Amino acid sequence: MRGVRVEVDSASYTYADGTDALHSVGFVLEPGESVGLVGPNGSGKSTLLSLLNGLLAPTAGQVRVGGTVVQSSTLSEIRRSVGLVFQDPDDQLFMPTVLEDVAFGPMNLGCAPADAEARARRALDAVGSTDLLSRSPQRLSLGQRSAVAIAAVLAMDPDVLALDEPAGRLDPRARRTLISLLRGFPHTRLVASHDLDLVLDLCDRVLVLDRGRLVGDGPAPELLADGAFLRRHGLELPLGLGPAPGGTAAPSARNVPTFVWYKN
Amino acid sequence: MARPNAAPIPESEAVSSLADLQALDVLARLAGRDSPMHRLDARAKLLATGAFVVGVVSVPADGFASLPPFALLWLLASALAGLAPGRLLRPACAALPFALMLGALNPLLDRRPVSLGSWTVAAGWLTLATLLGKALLAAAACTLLAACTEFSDLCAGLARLGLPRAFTQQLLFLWRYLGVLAQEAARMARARDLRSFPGSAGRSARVAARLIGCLLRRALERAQRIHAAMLCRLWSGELPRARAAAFAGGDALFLAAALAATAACRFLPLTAALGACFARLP
Repeated sequence: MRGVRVEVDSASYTYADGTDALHSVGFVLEPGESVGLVGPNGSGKSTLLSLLNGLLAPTAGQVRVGGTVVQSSTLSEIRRSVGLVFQDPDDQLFMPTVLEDVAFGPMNLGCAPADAEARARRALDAVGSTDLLSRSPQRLSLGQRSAVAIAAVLAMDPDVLALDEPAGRLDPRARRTLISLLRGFPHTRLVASHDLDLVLDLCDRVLVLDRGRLVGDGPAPELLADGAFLRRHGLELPLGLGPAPGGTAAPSARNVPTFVWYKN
Repeated sequence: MARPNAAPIPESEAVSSLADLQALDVLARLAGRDSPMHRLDARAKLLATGAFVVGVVSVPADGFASLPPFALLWLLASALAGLAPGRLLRPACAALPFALMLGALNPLLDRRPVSLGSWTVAAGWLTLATLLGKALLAAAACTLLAACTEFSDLCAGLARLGLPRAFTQQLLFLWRYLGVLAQEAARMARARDLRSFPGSAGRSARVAARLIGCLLRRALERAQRIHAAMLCRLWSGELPRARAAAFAGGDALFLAAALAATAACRFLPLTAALGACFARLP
């Protein structure tokens, strides 16, 4: 099954040092939906992603994935179902070769080595990286490592993908490749990012976090076009929607659909 | 304005220690090649190397004359691996300062006269030379092993020879993250150098101590993130076993030949025999 419902029910999280990272956050991700999670640094995005697969347990409230409550007794089921892609692929790729790394999850799921390898090959094929099979992660470019890190999560056959700043340090071409890759996935996706253009490209809906509170939840093209709202919460208009440097509106394909002239 | 004679920016210590890591990286790249030696089972090579090192190290303190056959054996093995001896010896030289530290006083402490052909020298010089030769050969054997075996195969081989898996897993992680950590250290050192000026406190021990502390903290944070990433993929305490390669007949043959050759180098008077051969040449 692909794409399950994710429910976050007034979840709060306070770190051991007293930092109030999330405060009564609630939302629902519908199966197969692609949702952006934006907010300034320290707004709680990474904490929220960690709640989804039980790396952290909410201090109050509840998280449910496909109807299953995230708690210590359901962790292995939840972690199979929710694939978390880390910001730095170096944190995620620790095995000596790409194939072994991507097969790491399936092996832990109890697959036979041949089966795990087949799953790893399929996952690498999905991100277009089969040629990297026997390479060492140390010797890959950042874009290649990002793709392999996603394959490592895909090999677990997850229903939900939670991505933390997926294009953080990628060059434009690698970023574009990643966007078209992620757009094609059938999973329920939650993409945490500062890159509002990426969010605009990938997501129909966006959640805005500020200082641990959910301050916005709505269609991406509307929410991300509201400059005053974004500035209030430490963000800026995406380049694709923002004013041109000269002060006039940008002739973007998004807000000035060129076909208008042809229609008349 | 261009200054053609501007002095080059001095390399910081961290960057030069990064160069040492690059030597490791060179060995790792060599390990990715293909040769009869590269194709052998890691266990056969590990045991052969171990025997060679024990053979070299057990040479008596004044037994310099027994070392040339070992050197020839090593040259033969590196030729089989298709590797240039120079590239292997350079990283092996890292062992020399330690040996030098141990034996530096030998020429002063042991002044018994020893005759070498027509020369007479203090016995201490001979024992020092033997010590350095032994250290270099033992280290060269290890670099040869590292240059013809992938590190992951080496760890798998060690595990299958009975080394605790916790230990081999630590080695694998060390290998994987050494470079990442070194790059982080180099970046921090560069940031420090860019903000310190002649006469400023930038290079003081206090700043260095903070830098090391900061690096340790970052390493810990990274370790926590890696641990979280492993938990996300249902890690339960043990890395999955790598594909088990069989110990083939060729591996056994190589090991037997290597052990026999090492024993011959150690116990037969090969240097004298070689010398006699050369003496008989017209």
